Amino acid sequence: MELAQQVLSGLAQGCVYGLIALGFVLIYKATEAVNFAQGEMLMLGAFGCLALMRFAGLPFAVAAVLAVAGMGALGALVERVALRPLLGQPQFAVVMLTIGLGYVARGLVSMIPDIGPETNALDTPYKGLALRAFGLVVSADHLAIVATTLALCASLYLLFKYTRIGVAMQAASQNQLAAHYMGIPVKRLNGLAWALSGAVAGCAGILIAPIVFVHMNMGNIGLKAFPAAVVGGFGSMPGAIVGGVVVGVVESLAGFYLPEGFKDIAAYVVLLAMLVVKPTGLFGETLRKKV
Amino acid sequence: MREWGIWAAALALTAAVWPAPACAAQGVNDNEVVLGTIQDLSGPLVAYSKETLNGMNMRIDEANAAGGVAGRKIKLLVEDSGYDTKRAMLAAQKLSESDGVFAVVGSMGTTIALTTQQVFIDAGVINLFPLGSARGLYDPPVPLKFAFSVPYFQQGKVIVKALNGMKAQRKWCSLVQDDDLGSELMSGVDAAMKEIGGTVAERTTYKRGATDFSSQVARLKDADCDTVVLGTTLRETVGTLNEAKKVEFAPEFVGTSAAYSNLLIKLAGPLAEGVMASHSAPQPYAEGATKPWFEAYQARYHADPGQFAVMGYSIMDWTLATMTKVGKPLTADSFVATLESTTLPRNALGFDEMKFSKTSHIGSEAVRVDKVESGKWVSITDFIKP
Repeated sequence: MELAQQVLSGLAQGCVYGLIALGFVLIYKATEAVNFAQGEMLMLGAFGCLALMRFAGLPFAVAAVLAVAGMGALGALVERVALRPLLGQPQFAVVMLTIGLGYVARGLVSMIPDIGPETNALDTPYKGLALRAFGLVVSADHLAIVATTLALCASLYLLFKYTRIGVAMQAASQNQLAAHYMGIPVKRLNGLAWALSGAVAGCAGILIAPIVFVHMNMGNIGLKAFPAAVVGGFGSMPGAIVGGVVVGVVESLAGFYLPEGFKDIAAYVVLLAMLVVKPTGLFGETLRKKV
Repeated sequence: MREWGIWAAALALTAAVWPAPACAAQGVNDNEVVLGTIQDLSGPLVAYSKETLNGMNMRIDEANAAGGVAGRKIKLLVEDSGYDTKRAMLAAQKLSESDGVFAVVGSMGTTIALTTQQVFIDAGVINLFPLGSARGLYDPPVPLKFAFSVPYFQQGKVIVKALNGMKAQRKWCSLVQDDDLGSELMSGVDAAMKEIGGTVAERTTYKRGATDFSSQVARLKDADCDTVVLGTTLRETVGTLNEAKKVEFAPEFVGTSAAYSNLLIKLAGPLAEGVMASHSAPQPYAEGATKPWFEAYQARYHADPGQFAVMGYSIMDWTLATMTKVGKPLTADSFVATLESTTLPRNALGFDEMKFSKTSHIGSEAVRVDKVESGKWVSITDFIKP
């Protein structure tokens, strides 16, 4: 029974990592860029929802939808203003830019009066609830994350696989010039990818807020999501979820059955093992580019 | 000619090394004493620093309105470390060299205070009452450093002593941060366990910044603990309480000053009821002896004061009280000698008596234990020495 509970807790925590990893993978799949500010975008989404509830008095559901939409718009704006000028530049420039954007976001948030420098609770309608069945227990917070993660993953997978826009985004990420010659509006699709990623980050921030609280360093959990994305295969949506679950379950079991300290390194041991055994990840594709 | 040159050089060298006459100390003139402080105005502790500065400035303004101390107005210069040690070092150099402060008061953060204290000592600037908990801030008792905040080692000893005194038969367990906070705390707990002939049955740890405590709480529940020592800061304490509630694990939780905050009650809500914590600096409420001060703070800042405002106000009060006792001839030596022979009584805000000496530069190592009852921290012990 204890084993089953630990696996269940690991699955739930793994979906947290998977949800955040989804944002990484989405950007990478569409633009071949790694967004090191994904954690900060998650943080902005959570603060947006909190601010709307605290200062505008909106109920949670309305505030959450507006915050997610707002993060989508912010993602598109960031792409237009900061990233589009870097088209054609080395990947390293994008990495440095996103790291810088992360610092700026944290700095700006710390200046918001009352809530910026503080640790805040986000009052969700399902706060404190838990589902108990067959001797196992899972919190409502985690259930919401699992449900949303699966729904988002399915929607994005279908988008990329079966819609013209999704296929066009994949084409643009693999060869921007060829995609442009085919008449694909590469710049607009990049903007759409960042908008989607911003919205996913906003979702993630709002859903994990009851667990990690809303504070300017809450995006640090993104560091755990990175191994999840790598384990799953950086270009795969389902891979992000599976990778997250693998990391979460290994962590949970290590924390219960292994000596002290192993829980903290479990995610990175899994990451290293995957890089040695199958560097492209569980669902990653082996790609070659003719230069 | 060469002989004159040698005499001139010898004279110049003597003048250079001859001790200067006992004139005014750095940061002190007839009209003013300049104090400095290193705070976090842009990093993770900005909320604590804002309150600390409010408390310090409130006390300074009271003193200046009454004519200053020994006829000198008090001026406080603030530098921002951003909770970064490199920036803190630069700030320390600026305060001690170009600003020439007399003393640095209430520097925020254990690491910041430990890193910068030698810069100040080398410049002859007194380190007073940093907001950090470490033995290095007062021990060994070199002249130019004084502390008030009780380290986690002593808190660990008192926690065990106090709870053992309430009920001897306990199954002790722990969940602590895997850094100095946790290791210092557990050293104190283990030292006390030796004295009472007890043991810690299950020890769990977490990495700083962790948000998932499911496996740790599962192990504590599995071990059937009834008393859990928490070496956790604010968010981790609430995370642990949430997880414990989820799995229906209800031991007595006792934390340290790292968890002792009104924010804990605000974030954890009803889950905080019954949680205990050790501290040496009290949480203020608008009642009893604290009420006039509480209301004065509210009127001035349009916000409720917290623990850090109490600390800021009290440490500045102790500083100014010592300067008052020294009187007009204020130097680092006279200040240190006076403080070393001074007992500052228990204040209305709830601090223990602060007694310094040549061999002890921490005001009090005593700590008390509070419990959350009906949404407020209530003292359940007096100050207990470790």
